[in-house]
Amino acid sequence: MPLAPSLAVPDWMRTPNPVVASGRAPSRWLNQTVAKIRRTYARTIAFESVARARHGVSQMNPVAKAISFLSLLVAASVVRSPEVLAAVAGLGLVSALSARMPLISLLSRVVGSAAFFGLVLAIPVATAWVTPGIEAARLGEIAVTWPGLERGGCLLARLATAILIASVWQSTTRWNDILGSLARLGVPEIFITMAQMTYRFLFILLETLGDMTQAREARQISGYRAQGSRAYAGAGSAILFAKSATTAHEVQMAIEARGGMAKSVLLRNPGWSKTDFVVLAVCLTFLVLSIASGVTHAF
Amino acid sequence: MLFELRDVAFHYEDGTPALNGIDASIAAGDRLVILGANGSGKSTLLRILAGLEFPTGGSIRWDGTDLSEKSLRDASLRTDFRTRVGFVFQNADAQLFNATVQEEIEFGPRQMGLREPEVRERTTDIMRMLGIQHLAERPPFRLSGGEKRKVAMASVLSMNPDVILMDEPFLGLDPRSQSWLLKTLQILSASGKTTILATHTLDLVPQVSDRTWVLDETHHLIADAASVDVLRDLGRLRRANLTALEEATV
Repeated sequence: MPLAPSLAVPDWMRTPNPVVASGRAPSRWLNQTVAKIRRTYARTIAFESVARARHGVSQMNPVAKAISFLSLLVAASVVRSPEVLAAVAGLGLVSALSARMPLISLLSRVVGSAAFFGLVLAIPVATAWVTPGIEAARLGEIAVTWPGLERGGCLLARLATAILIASVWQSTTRWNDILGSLARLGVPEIFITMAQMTYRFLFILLETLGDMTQAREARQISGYRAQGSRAYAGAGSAILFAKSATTAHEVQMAIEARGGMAKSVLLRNPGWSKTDFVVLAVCLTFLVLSIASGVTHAF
Repeated sequence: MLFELRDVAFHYEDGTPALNGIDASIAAGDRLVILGANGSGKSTLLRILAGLEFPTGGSIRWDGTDLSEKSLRDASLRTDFRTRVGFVFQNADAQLFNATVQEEIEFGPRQMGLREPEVRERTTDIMRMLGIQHLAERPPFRLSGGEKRKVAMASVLSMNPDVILMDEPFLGLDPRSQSWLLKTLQILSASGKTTILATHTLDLVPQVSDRTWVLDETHHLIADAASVDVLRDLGRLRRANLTALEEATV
């Protein structure tokens, strides 16, 4: 039961605070990391700066680009020849350069993601337990074999190429155009709606997280102890989840209020140019080469 | 002077301006309102005053000392600044990060290193002052909008700051909560606190301020004068997109 506020100022509020001991400086790592993610997200995804700049592959018809890049993604996953894989990766890099993407930032994203997700699989594959063969090195009980290194390396190379292709596609195409072209290619509406929600929601999530870290900084005088950090991480996650649930519920009600799950993505249709046909032909050729390489190469 | 701003500018990384050439100062005990249309830079200016963002041009001084990301790494300045300047965010949801309301209010005094009886005393007093004792054990993120706003305010007041910055404090409050907030702000001012509010609601300005800054849509400070004078100048308010055309010409 709410109680009436007293509106009487306590005595301690009428006097200055006691002298407070200065503690060690709080780490700004979390704030700076969140700010960096927000900036990167805003620059590369929300503002769609590369996609809107209209250079090189950024100008392609979205459907032509979707077929082309999906072909390259399939090619990267089925290819058996290192030469063809290198050519697919090269094509991805040329596409990025044509759209004037910042190459260093792109490569660091690709290498970082491939290492993060790929090493978990590649390291066990390289060992004698998973891939027997001639021993290349030994660390105590763990032996690494030459065929294992080749398979692990191939796995990482394929993953990095796929990430490169997907990054270039995503960065050079407006998000609405990606979803619209996927819808045109027959991807179910429910998937499109979910992807669209995720896109919208990521920004809300990052904004909330940014506000939360700033709010903590505004009241933080000294560095946290481990227990305080754990408590903050736990409560912070709960707030983010609560906020997520509320937002998702509101969006669902807004959709229902407008008549249910109507088609949410409309595709711009700039028409097909000669370049679209040429890029598509090149990508499909690579797809055929990749499939064919499985017949002529053993790994 | 508590705050001195000299040619303060703030631009986002993509070059979008948020503030341009702000020259102004704030003295202890001031009751200041920052008026401006949506996107005029009010919130950015408050965050700069709160030492959470830093100017990309010009400079800001706090109590005679340069206020920058670098200077705030100094333990004594940071401690002095964070204990004397409180910031109530527009988004109360984001401000509340503890498991219960009580812990939320205790966070600040604990950070200040106060002894446990003092922490308890402050928490109890503030909850009584704002009428939120019944929320003590509730998780902050499960409260209503008005309750969250009260808890956010309590969490700042428990640190007994000299300066209270509030971003759009009346936004989304029902009439009774608005009236409560008005009274609270008047009481805080009467007890010597400096209150700085950002808003675009004109009706309440005379009741919570003596002085008003107006930011226009080019992010410049176009007025720094007594609130009654600022509110009388309808042409200027209209230029700042703070009043409707027909309202200004009546």
